[in-house]
Amino acid sequence: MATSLCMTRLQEERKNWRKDHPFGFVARPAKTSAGALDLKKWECAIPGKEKTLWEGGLFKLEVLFPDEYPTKPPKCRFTPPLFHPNVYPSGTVCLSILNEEEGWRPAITIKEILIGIQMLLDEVNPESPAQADAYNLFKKDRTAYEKRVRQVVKDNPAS
Amino acid sequence: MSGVNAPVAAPTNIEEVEQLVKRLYQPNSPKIIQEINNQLQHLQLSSDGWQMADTLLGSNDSTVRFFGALTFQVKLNNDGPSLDHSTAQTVLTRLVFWLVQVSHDRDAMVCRKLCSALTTYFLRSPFIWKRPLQHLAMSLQNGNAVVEAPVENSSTDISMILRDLDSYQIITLLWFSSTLADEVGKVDPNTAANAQMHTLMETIVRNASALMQHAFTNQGGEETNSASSEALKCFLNWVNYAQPVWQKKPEGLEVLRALIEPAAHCLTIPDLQRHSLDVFRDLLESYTTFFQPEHLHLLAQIIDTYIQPVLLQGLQDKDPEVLPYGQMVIALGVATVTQVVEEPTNQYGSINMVKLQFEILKAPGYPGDDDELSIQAIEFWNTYIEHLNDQIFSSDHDVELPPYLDHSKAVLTQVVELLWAKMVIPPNDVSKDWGSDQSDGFKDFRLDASDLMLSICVCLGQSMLKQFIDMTLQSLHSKQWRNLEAALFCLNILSENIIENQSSTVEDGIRPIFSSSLFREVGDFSQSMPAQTRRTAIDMLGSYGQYVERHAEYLPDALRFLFASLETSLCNSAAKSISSLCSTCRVSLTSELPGFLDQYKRFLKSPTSDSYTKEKVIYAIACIVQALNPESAKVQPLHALLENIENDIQAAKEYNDAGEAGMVEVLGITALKCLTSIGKGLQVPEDVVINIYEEDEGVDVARDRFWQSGEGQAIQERIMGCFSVLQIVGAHGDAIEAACDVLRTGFAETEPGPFVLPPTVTVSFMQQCTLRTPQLETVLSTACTLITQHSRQNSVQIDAEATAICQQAVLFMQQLGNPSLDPGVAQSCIDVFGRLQDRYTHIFIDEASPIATDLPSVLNFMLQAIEGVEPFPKRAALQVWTRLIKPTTNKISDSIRERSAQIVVAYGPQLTGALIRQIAGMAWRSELDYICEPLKALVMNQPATKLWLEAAMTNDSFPCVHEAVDDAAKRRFIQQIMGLRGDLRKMRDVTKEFYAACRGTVLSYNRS
Repeated sequence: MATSLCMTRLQEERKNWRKDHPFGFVARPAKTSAGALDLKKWECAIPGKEKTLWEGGLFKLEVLFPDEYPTKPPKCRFTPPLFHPNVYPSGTVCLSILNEEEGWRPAITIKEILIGIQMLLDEVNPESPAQADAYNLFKKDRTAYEKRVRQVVKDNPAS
Repeated sequence: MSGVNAPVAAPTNIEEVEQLVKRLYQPNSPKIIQEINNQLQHLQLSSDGWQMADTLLGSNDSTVRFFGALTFQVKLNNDGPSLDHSTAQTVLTRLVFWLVQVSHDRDAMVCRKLCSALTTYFLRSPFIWKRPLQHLAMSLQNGNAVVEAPVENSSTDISMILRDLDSYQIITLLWFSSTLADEVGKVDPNTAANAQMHTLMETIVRNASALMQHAFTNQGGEETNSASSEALKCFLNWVNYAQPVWQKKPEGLEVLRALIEPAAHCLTIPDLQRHSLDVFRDLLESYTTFFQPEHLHLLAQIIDTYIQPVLLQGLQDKDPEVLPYGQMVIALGVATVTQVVEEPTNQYGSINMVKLQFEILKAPGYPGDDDELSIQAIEFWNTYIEHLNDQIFSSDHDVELPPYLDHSKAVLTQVVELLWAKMVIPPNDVSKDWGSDQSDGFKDFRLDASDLMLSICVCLGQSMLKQFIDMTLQSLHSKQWRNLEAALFCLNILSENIIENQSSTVEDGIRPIFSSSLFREVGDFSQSMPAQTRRTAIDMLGSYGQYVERHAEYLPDALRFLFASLETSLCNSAAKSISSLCSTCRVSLTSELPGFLDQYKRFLKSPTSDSYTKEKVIYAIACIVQALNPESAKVQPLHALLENIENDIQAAKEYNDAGEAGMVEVLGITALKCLTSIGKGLQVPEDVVINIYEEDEGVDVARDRFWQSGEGQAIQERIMGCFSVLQIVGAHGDAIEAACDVLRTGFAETEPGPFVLPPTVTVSFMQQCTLRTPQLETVLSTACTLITQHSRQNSVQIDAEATAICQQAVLFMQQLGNPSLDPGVAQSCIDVFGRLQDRYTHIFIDEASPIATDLPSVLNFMLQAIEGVEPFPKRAALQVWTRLIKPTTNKISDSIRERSAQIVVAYGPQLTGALIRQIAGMAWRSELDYICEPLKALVMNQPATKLWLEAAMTNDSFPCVHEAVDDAAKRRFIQQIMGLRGDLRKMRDVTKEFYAACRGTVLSYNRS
């Protein structure tokens, strides 16, 4: 039953996303080896928000849905890992709405997740740092941090 | 006007109330408005409110009457449930009376407000209003409020009554009926009181249906059309009401379904078309199963006769009014997709629908600009292909493919071509007028279309690729550059599907593109073509990199194009593509090396050569150098590359002398970054097989010697010479970071090479640093990496260098004093000790170690780090402590093990105290998982732990925590921790509970 709930919800998410998604975002189920769609693994891309340091960048992200979704949140991982204080060295995003014990609610949609992550890019949460490199630079030398971010954007251009 | 601004006195009679109401709706200062509002609210809530409302409704001023109706509603909302029977009857009678009056006067605003007030009566009155529509209709017929009681038993068919009413009275009833459906729909049906109300709706719907039926069938004049229009709204509200509530009550639904036909008739009446299109589209999208096959068939017929002509004309004229017509067609297509796909010969159900969907995509205009429909049509085709793919991949069809598949494939092939045509970028004279809305809209369409194409590719596969290849070659041949761009763009979308599939048919499929004149044409910058075409061609080299890699014969054309693009606005993507192609195809490119070196030199003079492009291209060339054999062949090209870097350094020094700091920084740092790029390019690729059996030991020894003597060593010296640039840019963090990157490029190598520098180089670089060195943490972590690299099996043990690194780290810790002063440096210093494993543990622990006397200060620093607020030094320190308590390997001697244990015993009380203070609320909650690690190690390895825990809980340094955590709670926590004996997951849970109790964020600490 749990699995079918998961799949029904994911089909619904896919339909809703197709109907209405924010500009510049990509979200699409990956393909299985047989060629069908794998609804439990989505390949996504998040554009840097306008008028922020991240503008002009497009960052690839993998979203993995557990069998218990939507009871449990999906896992979101930047591929390759992203330079950002709230992204673990593995690329996994540290965000309260993606944490089962914190802000996750089954009603949260994929659109909301991706927009949440887009906002996180520019609105660093210094209270839950996930990687030392970006965190230290962010705290110590904001100019150097911003320079690094611009470099990251240049390496991941939107078009 | 002075009266308007006079202070607001409490009104003493109804005339004054009226005046006040009028003032409320006049322009006034917010303060005055607020005061008036307060006065009126006061009256509304008073016991005289009912009377006041009734009197105001008799006013000849519409706003005053409105306020009267509003007051009734406010009163009902507040006092409704406590009304006695006679008051309730009076209120209802007065409301009905006024509705009859106001409807007669055709005062729409007040009329609607009264409908709302009557709905509120229905919802809030404790007495059931059983047949509201019958009651209102009879009253309207009668010209006055009729008594409710006889209505309940009236057997008069409401249709008969409706015949006597004029259009405006019908509209009045429709307003009420709409509001009723809408408002009752918001009431939760899962309570007893509400359930009764919802049951009532099952009978009311019959009157509502008769009312709508009446409005739909009496069409003609302007006023009857507006009645039909209101009936459409009412219909939508009732169906929306029914959808969640009547899932298991088909009777009510059937009553509403019977209205589909008369409502659909509105689609045929020009004045009602717009509105009815919106209503039907809304219902088709939100409640598809409301429609039965015969209804869908009816809609398809109506579309064919009445909607299609308007749609086709509008599409040709690019008339924005065409939007709802197209949306209706798309919505019906989505709702009937099974039939569209599976019954391809059905005229109305499939053939006509597909034809119209094609027409939408065929229409002139650009998505995002003057074509709003195409992007919406994608939704239909997505539904189409998903249904089809589901059929193909569903297990039922393992043996047999669906009979309609061939037909569907033919349809999809046309869709692909139409999409491609829509994806063609606009010519300059169109796009020059575009703002960001238009170009974003167009990009959005291309993204959505790409997504659709990928789904279609699942079904069409090979033939779709062929389709795009033909389009590419045709456009190339006729030099239609914008068409070419769109075809290349589509090929790029499909690349992943094609690259994955390494079968020879696919490889043969793509061959005509790469063997064509494509890259010569786009590389010929004397031809004028849109920059986007060249950009997409560059993207193609990225998308098909793996293919090109397998077919090195196509490389020269591609790279010539890329190098030529370096000097244009496409430089960044060109540089990126050059670096990935040269990296993957290095072996095939060695003969091109001299040419590339020349081209690089030329490129350096171009204004487009900046740090980014230079790094990428020099990396690319270094990759080719790496592929040269023997080692001596690398010397000359390396000298050539290093010369470019030295030129930058020389220029930086000259700017320094001239006092131009900006240029010094740019050139100096770029030089170091390019040096790193060379080092990275020279790294042996991961997929090259390394001879682990060392049969060819002679070759290795020769290689070893080569870079440590003679011309090899000269290269190394030249590389180290580049560090002299730090004299002028060493104050910049970027420069220090870049220098560290240069050192690191050699660390990863398992075999000697030009960038594999002696470890002493790193050590002495570190020794030259001070706490004021920017990015000191990077230097320290570079040293850490050095230690790790020399901890691997078969690597050289570097005791002296590791000791020197530790001494330097100790110095920094001592100078820093408190880890919080520079968390980055503190963490990196602690990390140095974390790296001392196995063969280097003795440097940390041994009494004979040169740092033995400094050990206490190191350990205290790490205790401080645990109690500091900075997360990373804390995590690093917790890790080192864990390892100290429980050495992870047995590759250390007994004496070291014994000495470790002594240290832990000596520091146990302090460490335990620090951990407990964290758990008692000082840490962030997210840090508890890390804190449990050393705690677990202590429990498992140190018998004295229980005593230490007890001491930590009772001594004065235990923080002030929530009162719920008393001595018993503390004892219980210790018991639990000890009892779990190393079950980390449970330990974490227990710790989090205790933490929450200490912080007072749980109401009671679990006493079980």
